[in-house]
Amino acid sequence: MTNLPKNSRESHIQAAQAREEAAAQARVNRIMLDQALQGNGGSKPWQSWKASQAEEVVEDLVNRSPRMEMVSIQLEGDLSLIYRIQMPVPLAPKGHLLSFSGVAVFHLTYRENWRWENPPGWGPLGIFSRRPVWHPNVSLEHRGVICLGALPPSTRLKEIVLLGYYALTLQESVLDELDPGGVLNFEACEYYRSHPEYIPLCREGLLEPWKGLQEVERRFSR
Amino acid sequence: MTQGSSQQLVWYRWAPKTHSQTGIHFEDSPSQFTKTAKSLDLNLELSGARLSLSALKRRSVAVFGLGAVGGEILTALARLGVGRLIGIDAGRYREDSWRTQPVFPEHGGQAKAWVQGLRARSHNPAVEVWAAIGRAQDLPLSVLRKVDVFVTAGDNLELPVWAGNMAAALGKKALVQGAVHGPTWTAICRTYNLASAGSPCPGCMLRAREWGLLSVRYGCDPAAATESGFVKDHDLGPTATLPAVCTTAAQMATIECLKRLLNIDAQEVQSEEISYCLLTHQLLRTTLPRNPSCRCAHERWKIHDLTQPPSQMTLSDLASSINCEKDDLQIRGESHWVSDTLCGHCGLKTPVRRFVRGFGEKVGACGCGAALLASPMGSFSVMPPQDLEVCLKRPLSTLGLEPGGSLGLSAKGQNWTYFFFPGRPRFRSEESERKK
Repeated sequence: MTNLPKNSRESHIQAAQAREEAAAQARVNRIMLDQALQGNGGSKPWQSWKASQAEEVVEDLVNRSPRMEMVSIQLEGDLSLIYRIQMPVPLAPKGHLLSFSGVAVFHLTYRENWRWENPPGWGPLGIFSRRPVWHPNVSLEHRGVICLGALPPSTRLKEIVLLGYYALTLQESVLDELDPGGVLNFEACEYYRSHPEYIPLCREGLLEPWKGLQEVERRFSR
Repeated sequence: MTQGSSQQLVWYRWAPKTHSQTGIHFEDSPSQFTKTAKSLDLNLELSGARLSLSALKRRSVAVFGLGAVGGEILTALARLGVGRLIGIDAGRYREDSWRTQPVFPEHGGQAKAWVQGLRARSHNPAVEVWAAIGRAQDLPLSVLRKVDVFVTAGDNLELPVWAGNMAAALGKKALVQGAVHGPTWTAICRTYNLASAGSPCPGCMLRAREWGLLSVRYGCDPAAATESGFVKDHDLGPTATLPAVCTTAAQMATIECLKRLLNIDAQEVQSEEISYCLLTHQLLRTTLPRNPSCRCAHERWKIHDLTQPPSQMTLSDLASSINCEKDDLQIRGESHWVSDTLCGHCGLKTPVRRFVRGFGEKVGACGCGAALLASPMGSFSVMPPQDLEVCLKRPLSTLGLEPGGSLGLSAKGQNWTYFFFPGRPRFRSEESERKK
């Protein structure tokens, strides 16, 4: 290490710090999950499903993504997760230009009967936002409801998290009002059809680092 | 005939006509035994035992799905004299439906439930017929629990899976499924006895791939919920099965219903599939196995009838009646529990804390003046613990519970106990008709 050039040494230190922070965050997530598991309620199969799904989201996504953070886990009745992702969130346009928020706070719920019945596409996932999210799949009237299209019973929560992320960043989108599989905001649908430059809002996957809001704003202000 | 609508369903009810109105009666009193009635006294000679079908007038059957199979079942059960029949189907007839379904060409465009309800009633005016346009899943629990036998004859896998869950939960001894396999001219009848947790349910038969094929009928507007959907009747195409095959399946299902309604145990088929191929005349009987890793709940609820209306009871009263501590308590109703909602105008979160009939229902006003609507965001099937704390001592009527409704309580890890409130579920149009 001492023989390395200064820049390289600094980057090593930064990487080590990042690893330490990630490990500390993983420990916090584990504690949060363990506390939630203590209150896990319902029938035994339902408890076991909730536990495995919550664990999968934490281990495979939250602990691995550099920009996802778990806010709350509740397993008493319905499964309820609140998590935060640093990502571009499109807000109602000012003039012709979209404005953005840099953080999305999602609320994911899953009900016991959705293990054997189809959850409605708009059922499991929503987004909290003080300003209306400007997106074809996000309802204005039912604030924050996101339609993910057809979902089979027992859809894994990990898939719902990923679907929500890719839908909101317009990496996966439905822009056809006649397709009942997704459009909740027709005006936003029309807007994005006439402004294809916004699709997608970012190209990074959930597990990849994101350059940040400034980069998105710079890209779209040109 | 009366007509009504609950949140998701449109109902039609044909009250039973009396002996004097019809010339037909099922009374045992010799003084009322007219010549007409005697000729209609249906008796079966079966295994040496003389069984009177008049016992059927006290029984009730619900038929979920009123297509080529279900419509025939409803009529056949009416002919037998089953006292109360409930038929439900969300669909309407197409122009060419008469080719395969038990209807006339002029019924194109009409609701299946209305046409088949009327048809059953025309066959036997002495029976009470309820027909509902909508999804079986939206039937009130208080209606379902009074039914003796569930019959499913729908065109999607979701329906028998749901019916199996409800039959198990409500301790129904019999669930009969009528189905067809068009290409092989095969009529299929499956029967399930879900009175015990160890019995197979329709979900036990599904493999991972089939679970993915459950048809989705939710549209993308939460307020319209099930009124529009990914799969619509016109997308499904016409029924491609020969009417004779459908009728055979319907008659097989009717016979299995009859055995259960008359408690003919010796001949009763228990959790079996009977498939009869009209092409080869091959008959197969298959015992249906219980799948230990079935996704369905296989859970039997305890049922309690309450004498007091929701306005005179609290959650605390109900919890103490099942000796459940507050910390272990779980609550769920028949509809969504809305914990809070976000204002569509200013985005402010406002607590609601009550059950709603459906999304889009007005649940108050925001400080900014905009109306607050019940929304999937902030809604749950089981009341969250933070709301329970606040609502424990409040009268149940303030939590959105109405006469004729029900409420489920459970201690963590225990089976659910369902409390049924006195009264009938509210049907708005019927009330307004009475006022008229």
